[in-house]
Amino acid sequence: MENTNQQFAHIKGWGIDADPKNDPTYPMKNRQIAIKRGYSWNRPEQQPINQEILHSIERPNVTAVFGTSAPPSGLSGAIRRFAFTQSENSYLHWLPLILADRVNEVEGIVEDLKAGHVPNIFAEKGWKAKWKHNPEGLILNVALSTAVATAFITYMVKSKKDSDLEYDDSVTAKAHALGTAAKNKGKRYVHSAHDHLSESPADHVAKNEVEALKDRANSEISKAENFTDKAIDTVEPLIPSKGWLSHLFAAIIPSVVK
Amino acid sequence: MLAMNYRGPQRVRMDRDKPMPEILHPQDAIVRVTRSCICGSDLHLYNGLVPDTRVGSTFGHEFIGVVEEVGSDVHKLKVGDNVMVPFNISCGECSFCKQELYGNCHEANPGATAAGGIFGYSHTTGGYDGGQAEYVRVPYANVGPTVIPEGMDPDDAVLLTDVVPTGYQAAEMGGIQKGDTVVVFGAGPVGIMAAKCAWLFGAGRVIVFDKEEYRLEFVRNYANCEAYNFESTGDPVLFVKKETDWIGADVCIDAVGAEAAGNALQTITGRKLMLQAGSATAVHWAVNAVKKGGTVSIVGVYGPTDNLVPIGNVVNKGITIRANQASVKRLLPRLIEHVQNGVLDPKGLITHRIPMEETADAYHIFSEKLDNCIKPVLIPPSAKR
Repeated sequence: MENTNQQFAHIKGWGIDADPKNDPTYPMKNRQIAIKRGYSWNRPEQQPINQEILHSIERPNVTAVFGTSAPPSGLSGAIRRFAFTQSENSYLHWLPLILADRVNEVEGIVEDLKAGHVPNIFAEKGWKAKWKHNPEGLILNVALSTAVATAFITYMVKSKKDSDLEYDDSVTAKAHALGTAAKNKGKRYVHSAHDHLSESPADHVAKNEVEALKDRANSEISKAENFTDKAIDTVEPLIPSKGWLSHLFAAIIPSVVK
Repeated sequence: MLAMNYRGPQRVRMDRDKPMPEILHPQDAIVRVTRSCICGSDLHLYNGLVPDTRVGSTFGHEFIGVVEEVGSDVHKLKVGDNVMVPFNISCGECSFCKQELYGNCHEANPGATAAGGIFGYSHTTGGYDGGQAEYVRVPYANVGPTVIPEGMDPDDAVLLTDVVPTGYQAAEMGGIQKGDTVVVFGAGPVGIMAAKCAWLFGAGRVIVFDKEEYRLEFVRNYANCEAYNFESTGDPVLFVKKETDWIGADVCIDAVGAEAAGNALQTITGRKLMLQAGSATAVHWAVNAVKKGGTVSIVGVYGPTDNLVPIGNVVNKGITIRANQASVKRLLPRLIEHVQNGVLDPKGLITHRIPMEETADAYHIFSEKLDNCIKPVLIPPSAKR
């Protein structure tokens, strides 16, 4: 296409920076400037390093100047320190940094609360502007958030009820079995006592033996009842941990271990 | 002092008790901010897409202000100077600065060798506090900061710190030849400026894609170009092929970066699940829409991990990809000239002037593209002193 300045007269400055030599499809690097190779220039004076500065392991030093904003701290700082043991070429550098950012977000909330500042999340998200310029969007957001929260809570409650039932079934069955075994054991003592008594009814020693066996039988039955109660008391407080999270872990952990 | 405080994705607030910055290096200056912008790339930080963005950081890499204090080795600025501060922090001594690659300085960012130092843009670019505050520490004050020419509107000056040079360099890297068809993906401030600057290099046709009608309307008027909604045109690559006699554009510019919409797979894996460093839809379209032997210019910002890009097509089509952070200091003299001569009108991009105290709302408006927002500028209380 042929173009003339006249054709584009309505566009002020048309073509004033045109450079026919700037056609990068073909080699065009300007090698006129004499540049020393390698890390050989006279470095500017080093800014004093008075705080922890994580630097890329793809360079031998901290740059002459650097920012001093938000030094690494807490758990996120530990993750960042690990990340900076890896090169920029590695996912083990960048992915932990992303993780650290998310951890840092929670640390920020904790830090605010510790300083007696309750973060106004709505103001931080600029929802005043949303209400002014996009009230329908805000209402939709709130409605969706409420629906998601309601669904989540409903699922949690249902999950707890399900695990209660599972717990009730399994613990009751186990306790019942143990109790039945203890009762049977007790009954065996009673039968044994009766047998002993029928074999030598006049025997004074045998009578004493029967009484002793009866006592042991009652004791076993009592122990069985106690065991049942105790089993329920011990396991019941643990029921909340048997919710969706434990199901999730139960599903994930075996595959991770494999 | 008043300063923006990042608390987590989509959560920022203004604190009044941030300690004043101090001179930490002989070449430092302290600048009192008079104008500060929110950049489209700040939204990548705001949305938690850039690794090592620490809670408590202050964002902001587009600002101008008045020099309040200088270090012992600062000789090009003096207290009281009105300065525009390029978003890149550059030493002027390393081999990259010597080649005028001021966006790739090797002495400004300890955290990553792949990126230069940038104000208020996470520890991945050096861990500096930025200009969405009343005062900022400006390192290498002899190199980057430039005195604002007498009579220049501060609203023009603040946009010369990033938006204008980035849009201009996007067009420059395209190697546009007279009569070329240039396609710009994204009608945010940088895309609009790239479309405007494409004409300066002699483009014969400039086409912009976006999905926000108000932005398309804006760019049509501001940059005298064609603008299409990719939600209406269908596949934008096919649209470009049909519009270019089935050849493809000479130059494609990605002026979107990590927040791109338009492809569900890219959106879900890039922006929602963060399995890649943002959504690479714009660069994907650019590679596929450019002609064989054409040039793709990328100024959209992506995270440092990986993205889904059709690299096989780059090889098969013999495409040249050129990309960089704008070298603001290199471009400023020419761009100041363009502004003074009325060739460029940066302040025409500004749609919102918002008190800095309302920064959280400003982020929300810009991020959600509410109220026909193109470019928000924050005015700090310190601007009036």
